[in-house]
Amino acid sequence: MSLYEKIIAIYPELQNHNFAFGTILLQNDSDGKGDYISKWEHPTLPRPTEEQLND
Amino acid sequence: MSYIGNAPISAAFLTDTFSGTGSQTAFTMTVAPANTSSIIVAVTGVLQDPSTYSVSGTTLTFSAAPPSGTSNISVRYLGIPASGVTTTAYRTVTEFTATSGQTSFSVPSYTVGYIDVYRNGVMLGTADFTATTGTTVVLASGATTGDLIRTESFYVSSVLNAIPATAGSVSSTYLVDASVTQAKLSTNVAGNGPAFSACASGSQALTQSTWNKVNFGTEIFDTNNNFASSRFTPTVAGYYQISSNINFGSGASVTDSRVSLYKNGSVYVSGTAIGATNSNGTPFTGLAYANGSTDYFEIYAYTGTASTTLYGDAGGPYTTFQGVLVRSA
Repeated sequence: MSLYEKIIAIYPELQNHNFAFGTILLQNDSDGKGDYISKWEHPTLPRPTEEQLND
Repeated sequence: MSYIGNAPISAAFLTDTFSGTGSQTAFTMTVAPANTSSIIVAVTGVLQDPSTYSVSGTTLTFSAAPPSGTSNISVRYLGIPASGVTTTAYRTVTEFTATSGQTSFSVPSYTVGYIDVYRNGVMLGTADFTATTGTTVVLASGATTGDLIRTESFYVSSVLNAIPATAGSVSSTYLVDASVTQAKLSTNVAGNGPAFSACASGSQALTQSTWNKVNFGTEIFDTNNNFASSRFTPTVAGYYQISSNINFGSGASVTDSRVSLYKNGSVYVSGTAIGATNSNGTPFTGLAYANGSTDYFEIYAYTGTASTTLYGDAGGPYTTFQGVLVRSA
């Protein structure tokens, strides 16, 4: 499951959120370290914890 | 013809030719003669007396307009003044009429050790005067009223710092920074700043709704060795035109495909989203400044569709990353 899919699972209301720009950006530097949250500035939803993402 | 010694070198005197109009009195010569005696002027083959014309710079003015005719006025230069030569006084003579008992004389600036002193025409020995200040000469014994004291100083020069008149021997070290203007460049002269072109050497799976750094495994060219690991790090400061073309998969249907230029790990210029099914190439171009040392650029791709795979082929420029310096800092 990708980071994006995990986030959608945690916050289904982000299903229609555009992650291309704005308050939440996900990034993968193709360095083998995988996806990560490069920006989380959503006005109401808190940044998911590592525990939530790893569930 | 035989010669004793070297053969003489000969050349024709420079000549200007003008066509009289019957009314024109002033003509512009190719060089400025020293005076009217430095040229021979003939009108319709008749030698003109220097009193009938004058010269001022490169303008030759007749007191009366020569008659009309084609090439009927000729000006032959007997000698051309030297140009581009700065004259320097290598010997400076100063004379004084001494007063009774006078020992000190103020002279024009001289280099210590390069001045001779004469008293009534007799050259003095070094023990007879002191010249150590560069501006004064002091006699060892006072002069007599009316003595003629003469100094001769010599200009000391060196050719060590002269620019050699040898083709290809002058480097840019001798130019003032920023002194070469565009007008001094020949046409069709392009800059030789860094330029590179790279393409993806294989396909690359993208994570949905995530900015993925695009891998460009094949260098097509890299003029300054500034491209490595899919990253462009120019070592020349300036403004770079950067472009990229991302192929989101031949025939694939990808929603919200985007390409962005990242600078130092963060988005710098973001491309526009392409329509829902248009995935065969998403072009991007942008202009960016680089400091020439630490700034680097990368291309990131975004897709709104799961299981999107970029198409790359080392043998073909389908997914590309290119840049070139367009203006220095």
